[in-house]
Amino acid sequence: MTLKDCRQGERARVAGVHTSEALGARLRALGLFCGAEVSVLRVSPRRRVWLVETAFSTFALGAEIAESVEVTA
Amino acid sequence: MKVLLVGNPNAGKSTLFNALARGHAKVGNWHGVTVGALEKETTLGGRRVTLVDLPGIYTAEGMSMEEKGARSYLAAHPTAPVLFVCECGAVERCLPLFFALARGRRAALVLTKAKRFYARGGKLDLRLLEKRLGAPVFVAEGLRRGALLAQAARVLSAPVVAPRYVSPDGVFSPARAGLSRADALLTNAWFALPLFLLLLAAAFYLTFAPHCLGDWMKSGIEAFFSEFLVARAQTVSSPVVRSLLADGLLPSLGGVLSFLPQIALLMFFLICMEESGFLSRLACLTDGAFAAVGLNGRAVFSLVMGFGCTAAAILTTRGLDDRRVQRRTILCLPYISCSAKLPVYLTLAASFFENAFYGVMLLYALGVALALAVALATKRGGRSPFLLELAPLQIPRPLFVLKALLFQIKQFIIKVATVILAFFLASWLLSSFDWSFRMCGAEESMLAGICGGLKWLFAPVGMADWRIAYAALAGLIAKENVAGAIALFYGAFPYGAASAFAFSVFVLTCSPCVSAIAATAHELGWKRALAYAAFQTVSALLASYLAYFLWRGGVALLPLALAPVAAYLLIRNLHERIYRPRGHDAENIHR
Repeated sequence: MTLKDCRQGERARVAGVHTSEALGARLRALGLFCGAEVSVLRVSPRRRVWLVETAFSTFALGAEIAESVEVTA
Repeated sequence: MKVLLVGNPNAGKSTLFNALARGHAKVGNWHGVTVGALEKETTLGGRRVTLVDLPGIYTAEGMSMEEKGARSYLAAHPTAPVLFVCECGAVERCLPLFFALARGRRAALVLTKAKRFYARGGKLDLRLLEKRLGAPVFVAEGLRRGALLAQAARVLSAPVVAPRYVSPDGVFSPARAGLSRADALLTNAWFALPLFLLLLAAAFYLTFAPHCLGDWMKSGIEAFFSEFLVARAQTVSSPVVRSLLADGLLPSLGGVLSFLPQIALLMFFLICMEESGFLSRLACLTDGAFAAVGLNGRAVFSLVMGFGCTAAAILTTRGLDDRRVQRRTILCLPYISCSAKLPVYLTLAASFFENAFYGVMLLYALGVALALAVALATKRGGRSPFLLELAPLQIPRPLFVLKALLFQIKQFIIKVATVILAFFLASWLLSSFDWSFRMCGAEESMLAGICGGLKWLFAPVGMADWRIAYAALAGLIAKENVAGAIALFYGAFPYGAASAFAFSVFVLTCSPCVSAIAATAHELGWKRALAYAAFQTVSALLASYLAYFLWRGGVALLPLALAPVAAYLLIRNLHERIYRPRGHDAENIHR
């Protein structure tokens, strides 16, 4: 399952991040790395943007990135 | 010696820079306001140092153009001390970056946004953190300049940083998580987008609508110029000086300066929007809409800044990760009406709308629509993925807003007193004297001789008049010149509604001023900048002809004219959806 499958209000644990190195490093800096907990605060009406919270930050990511973040419930 | 300010975007580096060096770095509640290194001398611990404000960095690897720029600057100054600026709530995540950037240098950790952190239940033991870090740590918030300088000076005698692991246990306890009630509303598209449109409409109404605040203040300044200053100038005995003052400088300068209150009101709204943190929420909510035209939600910052100044907005595009999106955003920005176009719109709108407010709103809306249409027409391939950290939501700080507003007003007055004054002096001289330097009417003047051939430029829109063409081209130096030139030559705009609308469309779609062209050249190179300027000027002329034709009754034929364009865009979009490869191949953003 990926972050894109998560709904508003759900919490998950990151199992893997499958993006480019540079983007992966930026996501790690924002708290999205293997084993980290992530909460989905909001999903846009057209399911294009996910607003998430990690231990480090609150940030928005597009569907393309949400699709590349593997999570477990 | 240089002292570098580094840290995550929106940590408070530029605010600290302004406090320590009495600088004027642009600050704002948005991740990516600073796009280039800014330097200023100051005194730290009795030593003259050059303080350098660098763009924000998330990781040592960097992703965006500005991050790469900051890393290059750090690499070029390997022994320069570093003031690492970090929000209190981000200490845990920033420690690896602190060691990555400060390794081998003297460094100090400067903590910001402490009040908010503590209010949300966060805890931080500064002494323990300093002991474990092995570097000075202090909170910048609430310190007067003297105390701030004394604390910052500690970096000069700090030990050289060696990487180590710092446990957060006992040192750091995070603030309360989750969305506040205000944030829950402002991240809800059904509430936030209508709210934004309402606020925008209210700001425009207060600024432009007749008998509202902006209009009332403008009338006051106009009355001061016409009934007091010009009246006094009419009593000057020397005909040359009387003409210079009463017919030239005062009407044209007054014509531009009278718009200062309305420009200030608009800037006040933009500053408050930026400072509140609403822009990053707007970016999240509009990313889907921007994706449809091949842009990114992050472009919303540049587009909103375009309402203030096109040149400044162009520079902010460096915060976009993708070169292609940057180019497209820069191509769109001239169609976003900057504050300098406001005097022109207000001068002309009264000719084609009884209530100038509606005319101005029409032009602003047309500009936004054109910007999005240009983005759609130039859309190629995929776009960079959207990733944006949410700036903290806050009530705009009155002192900060006032300082930012006064700075903008000062910049406007300086522009009027230099570039615009020089232009009007030259225009008056050339339009009041013939080649033998005898005073004459405009039609016999030197300017008529030089610009006479331009009269055919606007003949198709009912204005076969070289003065109108001259006013239009004067806008390439500064857009305010257009309104001033009209005031200089005519007083009030002398042509009818259709011509006024066509001329407004020309000003709306024309190439931006030289400052914006220079900013484009800085980002994309001179060849591209001049090509864009030439294309926009020629297409603006054609757009004005079309606008005139439509206003004169050609609206019924509009669907016929738009049909082939719409068909082309639809077919191209469908083709892209079918044949576009999965994933994004962002163009290399290295220079």
